[in-house]
Amino acid sequence: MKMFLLLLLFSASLLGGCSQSEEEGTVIFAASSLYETLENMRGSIEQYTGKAVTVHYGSSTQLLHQVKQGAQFDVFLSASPYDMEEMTDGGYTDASSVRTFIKNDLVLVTGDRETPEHPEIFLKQKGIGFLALGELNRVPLGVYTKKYLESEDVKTAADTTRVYGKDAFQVFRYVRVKQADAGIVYGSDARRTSYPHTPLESGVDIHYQLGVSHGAGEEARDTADWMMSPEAMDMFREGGFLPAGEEKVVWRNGGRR
Amino acid sequence: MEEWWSPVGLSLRVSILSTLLVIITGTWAAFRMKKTAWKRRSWVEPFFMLPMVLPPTVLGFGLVYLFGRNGPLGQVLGLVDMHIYFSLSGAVLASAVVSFPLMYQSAKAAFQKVDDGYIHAARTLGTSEKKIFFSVILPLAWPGLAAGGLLSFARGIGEFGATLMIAGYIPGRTDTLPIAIYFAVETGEWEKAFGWTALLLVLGVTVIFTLNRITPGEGER
Repeated sequence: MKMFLLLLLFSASLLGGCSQSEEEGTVIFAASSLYETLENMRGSIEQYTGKAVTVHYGSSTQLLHQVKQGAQFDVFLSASPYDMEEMTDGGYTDASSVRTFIKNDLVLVTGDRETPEHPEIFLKQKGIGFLALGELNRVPLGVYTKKYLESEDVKTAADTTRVYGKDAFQVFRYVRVKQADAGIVYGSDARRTSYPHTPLESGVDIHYQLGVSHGAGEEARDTADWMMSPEAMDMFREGGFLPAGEEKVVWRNGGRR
Repeated sequence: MEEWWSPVGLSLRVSILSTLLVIITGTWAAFRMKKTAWKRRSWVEPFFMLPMVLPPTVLGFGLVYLFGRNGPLGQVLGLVDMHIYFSLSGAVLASAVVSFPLMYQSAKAAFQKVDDGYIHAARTLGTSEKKIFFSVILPLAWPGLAAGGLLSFARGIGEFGATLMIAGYIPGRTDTLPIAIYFAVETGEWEKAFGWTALLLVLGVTVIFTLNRITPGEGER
């Protein structure tokens, strides 16, 4: 019995240690499409704020649900203004801190075959096989894709099988490993990896927004400010994104095979 | 309503098929191993038990690597216009791989419990090995084999990680219950998720109750 109690105490002390270390520093909740860029930025943010940074990745909607269930964060980086709106309406982010910081676009990528010149015609044709998309109802990539398909009146052929990914990362992976024959992904993912792609003239604005949680420390606001700095914008540009103030997406039309 | 029942039907199909697959392969492997020398068995067995200790994502990665479009086995299957990825077969394979160790372990324990005296007696009467297996060993080992089958069924119906990686999320085709629950939670459709979760809970309790009935412990008969 004594041994059992000792083991229990030891486990509890380990758990206590875990939660303590997690609470230190700035906690960022970020859309999964920002993964590689943010990992490159982490050192610069830590240097600027003088605090350690912990980043949690997921689809913006997934992260929103986690916040609703009580997850603690300091800065929220959303791929969709709708999720940020819900965050603000729910009182999770300070409305005055919400800013659009970068933009993105949708592109068509293919597995083995050549990237088509006219994606809207390609998507309607027979024989595509598996088409990877973001889940159409809530995952931001999917919501934008749905808007594109509706605006261009694209109805995929009966023999095209739509495979849905839980986030942008998974959709792009399906095509990159050639499990899917084609997919609609964020332009940033294709540009950053120099993957051949065709931009979709969707007219769908993809705005990434950042917001700071109510009651977050000074370092969270510093992090948000740094995200808007010229240094950060250069890194976002390298990651395939377009700074919010700029009009055209860099490398647009430049990636077709 | 049809949309609600679709993952239930798919999950049952996947689990029944994968259970049948592991009952055959797990029983065969355990029976073969019973007759194999200890030294050789100690080399082979860890591979049989590996799916139990590896994370489902590693198994999923392995399946994608082997059965993906460009994987060695995927290419062979492609020659006869078959594919495992993004299909129900992928879900069955993933479930079978993760539940195999449970069936193997149960079958091994069941065969160990069979008294060799009966087998020797049958042999002295001139009974063929095939007949000994079906008429002596199987009837004696059946509670353990049935328990293994039930456990495999329960494990198979709950498989998520490897299934999502190899079979993907194609509504109506590969969205088994765990995948459907995951997407329902992620997209805020909690009512659906609650319903499916309740169904899995009932199924889980039923499986454990049945398991206890067919394999009672000492003094529980």
